[in-house]
Formats: sequence, C-alpha cells, structure tokens
Amino acid sequence: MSIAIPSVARVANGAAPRRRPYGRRALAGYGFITPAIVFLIGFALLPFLFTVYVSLHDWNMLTAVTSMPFRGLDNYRYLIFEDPLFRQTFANTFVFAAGNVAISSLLALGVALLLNGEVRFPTFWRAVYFLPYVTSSVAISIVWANLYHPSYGLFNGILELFQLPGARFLASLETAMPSVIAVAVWHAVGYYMIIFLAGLQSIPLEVYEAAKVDGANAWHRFRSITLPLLRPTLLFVAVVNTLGSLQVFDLAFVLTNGGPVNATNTVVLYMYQTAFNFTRMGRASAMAVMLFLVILVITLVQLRLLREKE
Amino acid sequence: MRRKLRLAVVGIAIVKYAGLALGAFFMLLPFAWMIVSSFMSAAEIMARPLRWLPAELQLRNYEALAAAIPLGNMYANSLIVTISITVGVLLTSSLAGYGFAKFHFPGRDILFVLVLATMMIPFFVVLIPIFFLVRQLGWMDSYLGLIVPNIVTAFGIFLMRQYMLTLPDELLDAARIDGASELAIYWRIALPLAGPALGALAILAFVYHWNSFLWPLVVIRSRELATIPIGLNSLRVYASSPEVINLQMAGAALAIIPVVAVFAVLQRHFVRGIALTGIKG
Amino acid sequence: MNIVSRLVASLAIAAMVVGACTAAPEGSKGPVKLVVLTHWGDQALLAVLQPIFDEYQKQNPNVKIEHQSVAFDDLLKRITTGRIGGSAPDIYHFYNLWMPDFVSSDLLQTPPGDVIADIKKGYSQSSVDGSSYRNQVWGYPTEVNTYQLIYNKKLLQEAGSTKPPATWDELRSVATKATKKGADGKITQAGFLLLKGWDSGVVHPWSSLLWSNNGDYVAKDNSKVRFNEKPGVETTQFEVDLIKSGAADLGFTMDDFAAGKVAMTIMANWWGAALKKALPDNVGVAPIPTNGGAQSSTLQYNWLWGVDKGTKQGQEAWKFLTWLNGPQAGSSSPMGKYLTTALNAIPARVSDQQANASLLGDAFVKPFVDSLKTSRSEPIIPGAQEIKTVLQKQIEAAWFGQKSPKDALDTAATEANRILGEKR
Repeated sequence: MSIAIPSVARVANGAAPRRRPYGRRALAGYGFITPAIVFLIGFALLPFLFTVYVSLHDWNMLTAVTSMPFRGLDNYRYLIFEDPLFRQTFANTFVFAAGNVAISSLLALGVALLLNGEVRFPTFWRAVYFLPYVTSSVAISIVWANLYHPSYGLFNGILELFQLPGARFLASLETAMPSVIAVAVWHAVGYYMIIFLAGLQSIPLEVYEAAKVDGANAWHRFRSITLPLLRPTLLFVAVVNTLGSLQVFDLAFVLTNGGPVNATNTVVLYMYQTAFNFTRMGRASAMAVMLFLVILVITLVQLRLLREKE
Repeated sequence: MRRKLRLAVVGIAIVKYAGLALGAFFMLLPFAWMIVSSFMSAAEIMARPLRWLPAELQLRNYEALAAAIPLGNMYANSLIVTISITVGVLLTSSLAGYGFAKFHFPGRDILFVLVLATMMIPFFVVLIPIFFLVRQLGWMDSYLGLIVPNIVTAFGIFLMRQYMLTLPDELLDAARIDGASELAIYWRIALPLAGPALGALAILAFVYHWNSFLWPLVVIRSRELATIPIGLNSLRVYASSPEVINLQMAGAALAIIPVVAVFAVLQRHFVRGIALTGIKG
Repeated sequence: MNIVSRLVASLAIAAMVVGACTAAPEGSKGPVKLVVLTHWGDQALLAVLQPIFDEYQKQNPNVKIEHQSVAFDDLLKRITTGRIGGSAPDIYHFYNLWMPDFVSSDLLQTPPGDVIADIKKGYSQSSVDGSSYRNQVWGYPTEVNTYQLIYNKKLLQEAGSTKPPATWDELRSVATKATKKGADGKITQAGFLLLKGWDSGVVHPWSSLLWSNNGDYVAKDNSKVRFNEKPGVETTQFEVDLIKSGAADLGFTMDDFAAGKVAMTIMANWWGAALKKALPDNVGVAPIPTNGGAQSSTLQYNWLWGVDKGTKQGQEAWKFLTWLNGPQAGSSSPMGKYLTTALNAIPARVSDQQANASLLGDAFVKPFVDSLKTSRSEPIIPGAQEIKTVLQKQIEAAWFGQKSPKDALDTAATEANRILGEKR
C-alpha cells in the first residue's frame, strides 16, 4: 500500500484551508453511523419512552396500544405506598448490591495486589480466579443450589464431618440473601480482578522506586501512590459493579425464585413476575422506570464522588 | 539482621501463597463437586457421611440427560445465536465507531452523547416494549427474535470509537487520495488496524450472550429453540424426584466444560480484552 | 442512502414481515390444519400421544394436526401472549385456574350445545365445576388431580402407628413421634413435610386441610375471600405448630421424602411414578385428616381442552375434541387411555375411570380416585393465579414466623379482595 507523501505533506504544511466544508466526507460519516443510530432509536430510545408511557396506563398486552386505560400516576402510587412487596424488593436489591459490590471489589483488589508483584504461576492463578465469570449463571446457580441444600448439600456435608452444625443457607430468612451474595461474589471476583490488575500494571514502576528511595514503606506506598493512581479503575469497577448488581435477576430467579417468602426477591425479578406471570404491564413498567431513576442517581453520585479532586 | 529479613520475606511469601491457594480452593470447589457428582447416583450424592467419590462412574446420568433435554439442539442454538450476535455487534460497533471517530459532520458530538446516554438505559427498562415489538413483528420463538434486538450496543460503539481515535489519519487520507471508497477504507484499513479492540469486544460479547438468560427466557417458547441456559433451566423445573439431582449436575457440567475449555485456550485474549475495556472505560 | 430512506426501507420490511405472518387463507374448504398446544413434550409422553393424533388424521384425511409443546412454566405465557403474530394455536390444553383470565381476555370460544351436553353428562359435578366459569362450560376436562395424605409405611410403623392418622390430633402426635433428632439437636428425620417455594405446593395441601376443617376459600358469589376466617387461621396455626415442634422442619424438601427421611406429607397423585421408583412397596395413601368432626375433603384441579376464540376451524376443532374425549367402542376414550397409561393421571371422564379401572385400582392411585367423591374444585375466581401467589407468600410468612397466622391471612385477604374487585 503506497502512501502518497506529496498530498499529505501539502495538508500538513497548512497549504489547504483549515476550515473544510462538510462535503461528501460528512455524508459518508452519517452513512457509517446511521444503521446504529436507527437501531438505537428503534430498540433503545423509543422503547424507553414507551415504557414510560405504559407506566401511566393499565395494560395486559391483549388490548390494543391505543385503547389502554389511562391511570396517571396510579401505578406509582400503588407501588410506593400500598405495595409492601415492592418496598421490600427495593430493600433487598440494595442489600444485595451493597454486599456484592463491597465484597467482590475488595476481594478483587486484594487478589490483584497479590498477583501484581512477583508471583509464581501467574497465569494459573489468574485463570482459576477468572473461571467462574465465564460460566452461565443458570449453570452455576444449579450447582450452588445443590451445594447449599440443607440435607444433602456439600457444605453441610463438610460441616457435618467436622461435627459442626449445618446451616439453612437458601432455606432460611436470615441466611438466604447472604448466600445469594456469596454466589454473586464468587462469580464476579475474577472479572474485577483482571480490571484491577490492568490498572495496577499501568502504574509505572519508577514511581514506586522513587517512593522507596524517599523512605516510604509498603503501606504508605499503597495509600499515597497506588490508591490515587488507581482512581479511574476504582471508579470504573464501582460504577459497573453497582450498575450490574442493582439489576440482578438470574441468580434470584434460579437460586431461590425470590424466596423464602420474598427474602431474596429483587426489583427486576418482581418486575418480571408482574409482567409475565400476572400480565400487569403498566405496573411492571412503573417499576422499571423507578429502578432506572434510582440507578441513574446512584451512578451520577458515584461519578461525582470518585471524580473529584482531580 | 539478614536472617530476620529473609525469614520475613519467606513468611510473607507463605502467607501470600496460602491466601491465594485458599481463594483458589473456593473458586474451584463448586466445579469439582459438579464434575464428581455428575458421575454419582442420586443416592450417593445424598449419602451421609459425605461421599467424595462415586463407587463407579455413572455414565447413565449423561445418557438420561440426553434423553430428557435436546442437548444437540441446545448447543446448536446457542452457537448460531451467539455467533450471529457477535458478528452483528462487531460490524455495527465498528461502523458507527469509525464514523464517530474519523469523520466530521454537524451534530456529531451530540449524537455521540446520545449514543452514550443509551448505555445508561439498562435492559430491563426496555424489556417489555421490545418484547411487544418482537411479538408484533412475529419474531417470537425464532432466531430473529433472539438475535436482532442484540446486534447494536452503545458500549461496543463507544469502545470502537475510543480505539479508532488512535488510528493515524494519514493512512486514511492517503487511501482517499488513492481513490479508494470510504467503505473500502473502512473495510481494508481501519478494521484490520482495530484488531485488538475487535478482539476484546468479540470476546466480551460472546461470553455475555452465550450465557444470556432473561431475554431468551422471554422470547423462547418451544423446546427446539432452547439455548443452553434455557435448556438447563427447564431441567431444574421438572417435578422433584431424587433422580434429578445427578442429572442437574451432569447438565451443568455439560454446559460449563466446553466454555472452560475454550477459555483455557484463549485465556490470554480474554484477559487482554477485559483489561482493554477497563482501561479505556 | 440517507436516514429517511433507510427508515422507510426498514418500516417497509417490518410491515411485510407482519403481513406475511398474519395473512392466512380465508375459510379454506380444503385441507384443515389444527394446531394443538400442550405442555406434553416428553419423549415418553409423545410416544403415546402422537399415535392418537395420527389415528385421527387417518380417519379424517382432510385434517392435519400439528402438535406444539412448551414447558409447563411457559404454557400460560405462551397462551396469553401468543395471540398476535398469527401464531395462536386452535386448541389449548390448559390448567383450569387460568380460565377466569382467559375468559376475561376473550381467548376461549364457547363450545357448541351438544359438546356442553356431552360434558355435563359424562363428567362428575366437581369436574364440570372445574371447567366452568360464569356459568359457562368452556371445554373438555382431561386429567384430574387430588391430594391425599402420603406416608412412609416403615417410618409410621417405627413410630408406633398401625394405621395412618385420621384427625389433626392424631397427625400431630404421629408426626411428633416420627421426628428424630441427632446428637447436636438437628432434625434428622421429619414427621411431616410442608412443601414450600411454589404456589400449588403451599396452597393446595393447605386448602385440602381447610376444607377438612369445615372452612371455605371464597364466598359463593365470589364477592370476597373467606380463607382468613377462623377455619383458615386454625389450619395455618396447625401447620405452624408442626413447624415449631420440629416435626415439619423447614429444611426438608420433597427429595427428602423420596429418600425416606420424612414420615408423612400431603401431595398429589402425579407424584406416584417417582415415589414408586424411590420407595417401592413402602408408600401408603390415606384421606386428608380432619378436624372438629368435619368430613374429609380435598382439593381437586383439572386440566381441560379449550378452543381459541379466533380460530377459523372451530367446527373441526370441536369435532376432533369430541372424538378425542369420547368413549371408543364402549370403552376408554383415547384421552383416557393416554392419561392413565402415559401420565399415570386420573381421567376426569367417569366412563374412562371405569374403563381403566384396573390401572386405577393400583394401591397408590385408588385412594385418590375415591377422594373424587368428596373433593372440591380449586376455586375458579377472577385473578385466581395472582391470589394464589399472594396466599402462598403469606402462608409461608406465617411458617417462617414473620407474622401470626391471623395477620398473614388477613394481609392475603385484603390483597385478594382487591384483586377480586378489580377483575370482576
């Protein structure tokens, strides 16, 4: 492939006018982005607006779109003030997200720190920790549900060997959510570990060397160098992890289906049940809108908090 | 003094490896149990005190599984759907990313911000309308319904755009001067140069959609179209009987092992891909 | 191509797709195609079912039957959301609890008069009730299921009982005696199993106990629910007491019963096949224990065939269903044969019960068949499915000690009455 130097040189020399008219190149630009834009309008923007629209109506999908009975803010009023289950699913979702984000992020950072220095068999460790992430949530939920079974699960079997009392795990109100969080952490740690590793490895060694020369010990180095330089990565992990955790569905659906007695029912699961088991699309849409707003606010807050002090 | 230092170093190393090993143990334990119990009979799984190994390998678990769910179909469906989506994502993301990165046109930045804004729209918010749309189009219970709603992702566009910003303009301009069409420039120059980003996106998209559950759950009705997660889920839902536990483990094993194998081979690419998105993001 | 023309092109394509899917030849007199939707997708079931369809097609060469099957979990969704897109089946096989919603959504076609007469004549009153809504029969009942006390003979003997308990007090004492604890206080053998986690598992046995305690689920005019009155509270309290005493420890599941670790439970006849494999010769069946001198009753639910309101082959569809559910050569109907041999289920048609008496006389199945004489249909009320889910969660809340039985049932009743009011 030949590079025609003369024309490039002419442009680089400023011989051509800097303010180019938007000509055919602009049209080409539009052409490249159009398929995606059209798709996003049709499959993201319009559906989003439609959800908001439906949330103000009652709809069971069998009546025509144009003849849905209008309900104003009734669905919202019902969910916020009259439906204790909705409030509970919100609380459950927050508990899950808080637990999952905190624990999986900390553990991921810890393992990444361990693997960042000199360590034997780095590929092996990385592979082992990352393995759960590539597996289907349905498959691992089936396996974990069996691990957790009070009578014949592996965990209670091991505890029994040590003559320790078994636990109810998914079958008790108190331990159900922590058990679900444990599965989520197990699933996600590897992914965030990789991200942290990449972030850690982008910190040049010279910075550490300089600090060592200045007499900083390991803890100081961590606090004053690693953490600040890791800030963008921390932000990314926090935002992505929270975003995903607030939308949890697969684990709740397969592990417990929201039980026992709604102890692990999450907003998206409740929304799914409302929409597809009871065909109350209006109410389900209202749930979606409210969760969306909450997610938006939380994400913006996170961006704000972690971006400050540039 | 030197001895104390060396002891400290050794001590730290021991703690480090012990910690890593403990973590690794917990990471692998569920897999190990899954494989072992997929070869046990239900009675052996439930026996107390705990049995670690089957008395003899119960291969009939896998036979019974093959009879209970259409395994071949499930794999075929997952492959067809996931590969199609991945190809679509790569195509649409690189096209749009290229357009946003390398062209100037009025409203470009606003449109890009709008694209980013759709990244903030989680899937569940549009689940019902897209379900309705897919139903109206007659795509329920079909490959179209599984594939089409997933072929454009704002995240992919963002990733490709970020990467393509770094491509040298001179190469592109030179090709234009040579008379190449814009499409040809995209296809022959920009795309190959964006290899690493494409690879990262491909891997992420593939893993995500291979394991996707909620949307197929909503769209798929007939057994013939079930993807692997959906097929596994239906296994779980049969009336409870003692014989189901070992079948479930066998099913989970069959679902997980191929992915593990692929991962083992492509591990480095996985890691590189994720690291790429983490840094650029 | 600019954005506008691309949009127009996409819309055109979409319109063509929709058109292709919904266009169908109008009133074709030629070959008739009947699409039949069930949840019977298992190979073992299809081996018996398909020949029946083939036989009808042989006898009626202008009719082609296409059988579609989905998993049970998907069946309701498939029927309610499958209408648009031109893919609605002509004939559904569905669970009778879904009838009120189907009828309100205008999904079902009213059967012709002779079909209704045939149904009223050939089926027991409770089955006819179970296939009716708003005083209208909607289709042929097929399999009927009831609940009985199922017990592990060996464990009961070990607990010192020669025969199964007939009253709640007897059940309490037998369950306590059959409960065993390990050295660490953990329950190793439970006296009674309460099914949890799914609506039928919780509500069906509970309802059977309710009715065997002279209780009622709903008022006769469907104006309000009655399950939160005294008999209902007593029923829930009875279950909570069993849990508190350790006899019905909540950590046990159906698998544990099949593994011989639980003495008694209340479950349906369709579990028979699995139990026969798991506990051969060790399973006994007895009527639901009663309280306060009431008569033993139980809950029955049935499935039924219905025809889609929008079908273009209504006549052919009902003709096929009449053949499918009618006695052949004075003996069992094809449906009856299929239900008893492939499904181990009880056919709702009285003549089928008689024709297949040998299979139904099996020691496990016979008590269930006998219970049909005193069984009551699961209440077919508006919003029945939703109400059932609400009731399930509240009963479980009482089990787990979150609320008192009375509070739990009152909460469920408030919500249920609201749903009833909305959907009538």
